[in-house]
Amino acid sequence: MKAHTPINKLWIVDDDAITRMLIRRKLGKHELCEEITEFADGQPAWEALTALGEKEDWSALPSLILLDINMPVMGAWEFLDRLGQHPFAKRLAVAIISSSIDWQDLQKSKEYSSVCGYLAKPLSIDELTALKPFQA
Amino acid sequence: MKSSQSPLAKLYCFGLSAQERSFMAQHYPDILLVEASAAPNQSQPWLLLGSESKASEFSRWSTLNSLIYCLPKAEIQQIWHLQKQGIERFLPLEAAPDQAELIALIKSASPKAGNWTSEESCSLFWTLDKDLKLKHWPPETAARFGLPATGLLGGNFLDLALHPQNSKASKAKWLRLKESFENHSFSYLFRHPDGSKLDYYLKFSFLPEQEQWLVIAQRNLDIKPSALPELRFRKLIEHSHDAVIIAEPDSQMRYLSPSISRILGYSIPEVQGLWALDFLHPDDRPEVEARLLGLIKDRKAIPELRLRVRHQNGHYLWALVNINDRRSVPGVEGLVINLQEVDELFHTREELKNSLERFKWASRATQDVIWEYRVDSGLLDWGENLQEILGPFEEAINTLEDFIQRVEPSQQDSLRSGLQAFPPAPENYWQAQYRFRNAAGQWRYIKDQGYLVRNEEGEVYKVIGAMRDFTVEREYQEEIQKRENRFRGLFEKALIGISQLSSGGRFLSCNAALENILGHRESDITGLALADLIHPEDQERFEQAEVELEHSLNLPPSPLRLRRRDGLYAECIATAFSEKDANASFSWWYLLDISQMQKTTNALEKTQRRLNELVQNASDVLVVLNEESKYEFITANIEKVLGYRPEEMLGHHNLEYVHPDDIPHVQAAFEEAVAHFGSDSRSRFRARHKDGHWVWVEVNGKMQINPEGAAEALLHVRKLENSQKQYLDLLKKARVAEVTNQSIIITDPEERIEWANASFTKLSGFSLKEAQGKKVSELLHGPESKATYQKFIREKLSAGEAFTVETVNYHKKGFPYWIESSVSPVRSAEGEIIGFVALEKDISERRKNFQALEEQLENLNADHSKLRNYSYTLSHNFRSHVSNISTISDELKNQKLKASDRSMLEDMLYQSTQQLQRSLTELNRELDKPGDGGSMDQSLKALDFVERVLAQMQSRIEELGAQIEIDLDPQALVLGRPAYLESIFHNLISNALRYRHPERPPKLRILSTLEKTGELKISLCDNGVGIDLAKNEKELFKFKRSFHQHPDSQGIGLYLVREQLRMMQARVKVESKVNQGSCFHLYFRSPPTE
Repeated sequence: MKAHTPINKLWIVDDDAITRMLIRRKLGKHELCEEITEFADGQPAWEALTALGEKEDWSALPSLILLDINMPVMGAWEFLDRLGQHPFAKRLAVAIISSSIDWQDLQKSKEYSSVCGYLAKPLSIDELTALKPFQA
Repeated sequence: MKSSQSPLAKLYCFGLSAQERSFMAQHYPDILLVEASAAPNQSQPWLLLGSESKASEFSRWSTLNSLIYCLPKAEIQQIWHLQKQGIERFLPLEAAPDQAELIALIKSASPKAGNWTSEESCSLFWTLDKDLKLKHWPPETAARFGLPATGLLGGNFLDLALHPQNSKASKAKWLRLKESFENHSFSYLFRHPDGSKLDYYLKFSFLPEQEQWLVIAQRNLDIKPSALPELRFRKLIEHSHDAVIIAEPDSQMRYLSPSISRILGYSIPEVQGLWALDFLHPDDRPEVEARLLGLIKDRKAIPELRLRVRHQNGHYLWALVNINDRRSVPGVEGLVINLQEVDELFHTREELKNSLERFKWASRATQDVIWEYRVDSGLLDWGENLQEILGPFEEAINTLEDFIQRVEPSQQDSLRSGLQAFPPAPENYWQAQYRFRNAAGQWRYIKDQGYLVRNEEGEVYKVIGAMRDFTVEREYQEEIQKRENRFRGLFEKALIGISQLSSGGRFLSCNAALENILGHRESDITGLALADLIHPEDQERFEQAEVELEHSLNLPPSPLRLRRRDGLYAECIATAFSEKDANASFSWWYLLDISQMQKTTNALEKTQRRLNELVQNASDVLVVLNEESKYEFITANIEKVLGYRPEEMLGHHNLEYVHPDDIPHVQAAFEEAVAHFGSDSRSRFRARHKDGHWVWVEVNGKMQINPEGAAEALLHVRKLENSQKQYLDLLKKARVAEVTNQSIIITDPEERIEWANASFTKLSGFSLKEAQGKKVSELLHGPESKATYQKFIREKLSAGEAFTVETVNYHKKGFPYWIESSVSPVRSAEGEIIGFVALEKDISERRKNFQALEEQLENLNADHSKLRNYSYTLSHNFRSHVSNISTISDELKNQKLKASDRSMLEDMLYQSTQQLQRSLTELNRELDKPGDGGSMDQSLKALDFVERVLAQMQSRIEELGAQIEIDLDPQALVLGRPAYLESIFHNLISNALRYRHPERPPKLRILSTLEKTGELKISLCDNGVGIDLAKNEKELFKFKRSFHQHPDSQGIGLYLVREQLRMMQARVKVESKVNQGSCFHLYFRSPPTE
């Protein structure tokens, strides 16, 4: 296992509650993060993010967002599209999480500068800690 | 012997008839009539006698004021006619003056020509109505009476200008005019305003049509000898050789001229008061008495009589006597007897007879007729052979006039004047040629020659002549002349060159044709030798010809070349004959120039040969039918078609050769040709071949008028090489071309449309007429006919290659349509492109279908990617669940787990397993569906499917306590695919349960309505959480959208619902309110009602 530093804040955006719970347990077990926030859809996640942006409360921004691709209201791609037009896009790191590795999705994810990784479920701790925020 | 005297007066005359002339000679023997053929000299007194036909001449000369118009009869029409032409002076012959009177007129008029006629002689006239009121009053008449020319009309004429000296008898005559409309005439005195007395002889003629009296007034000249001392008249009479006697009707002599003493020896007082009849020879008296009675009672004129009159010495003398009734002439009022002593004449004749006796035999020998003419008496005596040569005449020819009447009319005048006015001495010969009607009525040509016998004063008193009948001679001469002329004509106008050659072979003369052949004038070659003109190679032959001509006098036709003036040689055929008489011998040469003819003949032969070739090789047989439909002309190539030679068919009726079945339509075609005279008509029929079989022929023909003016049919007959079947095939093909749905265009090499069929018109909107002559590209192409295609088409066309292209054409109305055009070049036998044929198929429909297909393909591609997503998503979901289960299981393996954590994990494991189970069920349901096969148009009973789905979900429905209400028409049918319909109901019913409201038990109502559009609407209405349509409507049926904030929200269901409905050509509408519920309305096609 590679050396890594824990991060302050992490958001999990996934419509599957069990998946969110299991990720939280895994992160907690390895003490990788102090504060975890869950969103069941891209939509509330985006609203929370823009609220922070309006307050220019950069300290409250998550170090990493784990983003599921398929969600009922706002999926990963729409979320990323909006983020790309936002000034704090470069302050954020997003990791795509998916239950299967789809080649097209993987390629598409690379088009977004905010995306720092593409993780398959179930999450592997090694892959997770290899992400940029944990290496800072 | 008395000498002949010169005429007392000369009068020029015009247009006198023989009768008039004899009248004049009889009444005015001392007045010389000179026949005028030219316009008269104004200064001469003229007498114009004429009938109506001469009126135009009168009018032509009416400007002359020295004319006396003397009409043979004062016919009223003539007077009117002349008056109409402006001639108002005339002298009715009935009221004509006697000789003395006329001579006096002439003599007195001559010095003052110009006014004497109007003053003295000319008749006046006017008209009166029945009541003797003035009706027509010519200005000249008015002038003569010294009365106004106008203003008198309607006035009573009797009150005008009447002289009081008129006797009571004259007045009574006036009154008789009112009682009887017969002709009247009487003398009357008028008073001139200057006081003078005007004595007129009036002649009244009633014009019944106009109911007018025509009054002709003649000035009464006082000719009483005592009253006219100043006139030379008396002197004339007294010096006349003839005696003049005026007698009462009973012949009592009232006046005798002095000549009577000279002729008969009596003194006037001795015989005055005696009766003239008593002086006649007893043999002559009865005739004269009878004639006098006729004259007095019946106004029957007495011809000149030759009578014996008793001389004072007791002898009887022969005298010519004229008796005229002049009782009505004022101043005369009696019979005028002229007496001319002719005794001397008779003596002379006796003398002549004796001399003639001597010439009798001579005259017989000469064939000449001897005659003697006494100028003063006008009597003629003839030699004895007159009867032999010209006679025997029924009527004696005793006077000059008798003789002249037998002369051709046109020659009479000159003959007469020739024997009346003689040339002065010493000319003693008289000559004339004329035609004379002999006793048999034949015209004989006469040469007449006379000797003029003159008296001591040099005056001719006798002519002795000889008449010679030269008719035979003349006829002979005429015949000679005719032949000469004919020969001249032949010679001059012959197309054959003719020349007369001397015995030495030199040209004496030649005609115009020979001049043309040689290019020389006659004068140029006269004297030349023919031999000099002969082509050197022909010299020998020419010499032989000359020898032959010498011997046989005749040269048969032989060819000779003659040198022309231009040095070239004319090819001639020469014939000749020679003539010999005592004086000379010469030859006639006939030369026919055949060089020109040969050229023409060659050209003609060539043309004929070509024509024959053409006709023989022509596929068309030329036939002319006459008006009776019989063959009149057939070209020889008919033999190729029907085996007959033309002459075998000529004169036969054309229907004889037509197959019986074809006769009706051949006749119909013929009738049409007649009806549309001059325009082409066509028919096809079977014609009988000579060997009996039938030949299909096509006949094109028309009616026309031939040069003779008759109608005829001109036909071109062509053998149809194809059998009838082939012909019908052809016809069918032509018909197919006409009726096929494919549009067919035939163009010329320049792509201009020559023909197109009906489908073309249907497709393009352009009629054949509109399209003809236009280029296809100009007519049909537009913006969307892609330039690349045009380039492609152009390349192919110019390369002459066949090609097929799809392109856009434009309809006449402007809208585009797609065609598939197959273009093939048409080549002549020589390989030259003579046009193109384009078959154009309307592929708009296909194109539309194709476009629809393309759209569908796009859709399918989209579907495919979505389906790929779908399968991916399914696997993703499974993996998701499986990964969850696997993670949970890993956690549960941990023995150190807190009991609460373990319980939570176990619960999570259960949930994940349930979710996995559910996903698998869904997948199974999709996979369990019958294959994609199956029509979308099956008639399905909707209720069956709803019930089946509800049955599948029965446990779940009971578990949730859901209330389901079904209000479906049990018989309602929809069109669709069973699997889809079940899937749709499953999705929607399960959604209704899944998205139930948390606070109330689910309720679902399923009902059906038949729409006006014919669609069957099935609505599923629930009381669930509802959908915020404002927020989600766009996304509603999109794949992978889960719009419910419901934990179970997984759905791909609505996406499937929409897609399946769309496949079955059905649609969906959604109504929903959040927290109240949703309604899904499905609109299905209904099967057509039976």
